[in-house]
Amino acid sequence: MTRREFLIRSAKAGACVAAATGLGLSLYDSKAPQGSQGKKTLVTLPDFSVAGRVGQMSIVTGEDRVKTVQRALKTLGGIEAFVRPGDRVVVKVNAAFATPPILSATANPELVAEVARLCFRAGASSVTVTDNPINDPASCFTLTGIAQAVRSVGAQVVMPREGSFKPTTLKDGALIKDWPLFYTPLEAADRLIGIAPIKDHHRSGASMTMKNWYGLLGGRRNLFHQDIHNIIKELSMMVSPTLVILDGTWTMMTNGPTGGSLADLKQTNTMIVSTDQVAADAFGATLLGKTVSDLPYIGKAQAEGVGQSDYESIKPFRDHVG
Amino acid sequence: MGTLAVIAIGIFVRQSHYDPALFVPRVLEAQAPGEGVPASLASSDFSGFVPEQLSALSPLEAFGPETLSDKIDGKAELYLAAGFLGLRCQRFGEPLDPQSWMEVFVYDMGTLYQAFAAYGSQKREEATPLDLTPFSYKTRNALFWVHGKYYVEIIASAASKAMMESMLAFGRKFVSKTSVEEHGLDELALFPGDRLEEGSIALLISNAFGFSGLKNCFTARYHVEGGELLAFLSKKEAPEEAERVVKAYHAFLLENGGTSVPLSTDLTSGALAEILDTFELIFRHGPYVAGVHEAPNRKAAEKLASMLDRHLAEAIR
Repeated sequence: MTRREFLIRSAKAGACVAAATGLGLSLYDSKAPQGSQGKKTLVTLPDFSVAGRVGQMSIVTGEDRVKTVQRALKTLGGIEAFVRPGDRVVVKVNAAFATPPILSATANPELVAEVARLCFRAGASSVTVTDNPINDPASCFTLTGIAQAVRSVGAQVVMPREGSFKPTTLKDGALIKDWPLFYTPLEAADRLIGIAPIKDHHRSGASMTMKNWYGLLGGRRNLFHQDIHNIIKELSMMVSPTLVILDGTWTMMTNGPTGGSLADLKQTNTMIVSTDQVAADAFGATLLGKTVSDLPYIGKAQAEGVGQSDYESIKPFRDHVG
Repeated sequence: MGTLAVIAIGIFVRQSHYDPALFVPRVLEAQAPGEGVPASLASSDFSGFVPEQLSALSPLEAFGPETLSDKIDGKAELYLAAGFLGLRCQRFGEPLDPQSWMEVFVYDMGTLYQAFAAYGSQKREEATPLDLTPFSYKTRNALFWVHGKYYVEIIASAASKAMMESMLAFGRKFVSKTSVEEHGLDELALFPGDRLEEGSIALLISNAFGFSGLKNCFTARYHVEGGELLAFLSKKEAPEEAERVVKAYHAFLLENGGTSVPLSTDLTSGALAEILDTFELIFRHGPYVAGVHEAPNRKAAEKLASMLDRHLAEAIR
């Protein structure tokens, strides 16, 4: 090798090293992966309501939840009026506690399964049942019977995982600001149905359809207990569901929201299905022996235009199933 | 060099498909009781009380004042206001019957008085008294009792005879094996027994009837003159303090829409107010603030107040 050839080869080698180094530097990421919550991209829930179906409500009395919910939906045009073939439906249940279904502290599994079944009958491509419970999610969905019931009709249960939450801010909200929202189950949803029992609540006076959305919040959400009526109001502003189903077959009259004794319950045999969650809660209050004025969050939600607390004004359908 | 280039391109392509979900821990899938639960769990504080036919279905959980709402949500306020210190809870069930299980909640309320306050503030209508402790009862699917500083609930998944027997067995062992310092509440004897609704005595630790000055206030339900009334009494450090509270409560009633009504019965510092279509009577007896809350009529309020006053005179003589 001549000196000239050596210098040329050295220059080429140096250029390759420099190129490789440059490529490596360009691919280098000095920040460690932060997971899905690292990015501060705020999400917003879409409006899941069905056009032309505003302000509809059905109140059906009877002992059998399956029959009363079937009749209530039928009076509103059937589930087909709300779920189209191919729709991906999310059912947000109250599965807050790891308690047995007889205590009515959570959504009744037979009711949830029936709603899921009806959605499939309407042609839903998927039905996802979900909640971010207060107690351990696996225990909640198991001991409430909800997991087994919905899986038996082909629906899936989605429980919260670490990557399930994304930050959200409610426009004009004072409390829901950059707050983790249980978003993953809703990300690709076409329809959202809320199912909740009627319960007394030590803090807010009642837990019904609007409070059910509390289970979409993550983080240290119990901080909002200090301003319970305003957080429920903001939740109702944040979520525009397709339908809410309020189960007053057995109402928890005292010692809510956990209850614990069958003595806390009263058989009120009423199923409410509504596109107006304010109206649903206002009627549900009567089964608790309370008025709208006893539950300030109802008036607050109405003032924000979420719905109508004078439920008679929306002329609810009334029926009875023997 | 060509090989290095291929490697670099491969790394670039792979990095652009990063999926953060692959790097987060998985949550355990739901399990029914009896499925996948290990045969023996970690030792439990409750192990000495559990009937032999039951097995632990969950680990022992513990909660403090900061985390109580993680277990019982909004109901935590009830316990916190009464001096709650800690909760231990655990589920037990029958291995051969996954649908039959019970959950035990042991609340450390700090003192007997505070445990009694938690017990009385949520006593169920269908309560059947038990002889487990002086303050204990059952409903169709649950047991509730006070033992010293502990307020205990056992909730069963079903209203069955077998589960009730298991719960009672647990309760008896808990009481016999758990030593406590306090056993009785002297104030209970200060309420006259005539027309008293059995088991109705409760304790409001703070803000009785919405008034911040009325604390540690015992209440008892009576049936007088065809109506249901609530008598109350609260011991203060000295008669002077009791006098101050009586006057302050009366002023509070008037500030909130009440109208002062002349008393026709002789009670020390007695004051009667009509408010929201009911009658509120308050008086002092020695260091005790006492009275009648939300009486349906004046006659019933004065009659019960007189009964209470006479009984106090005999009891604290």
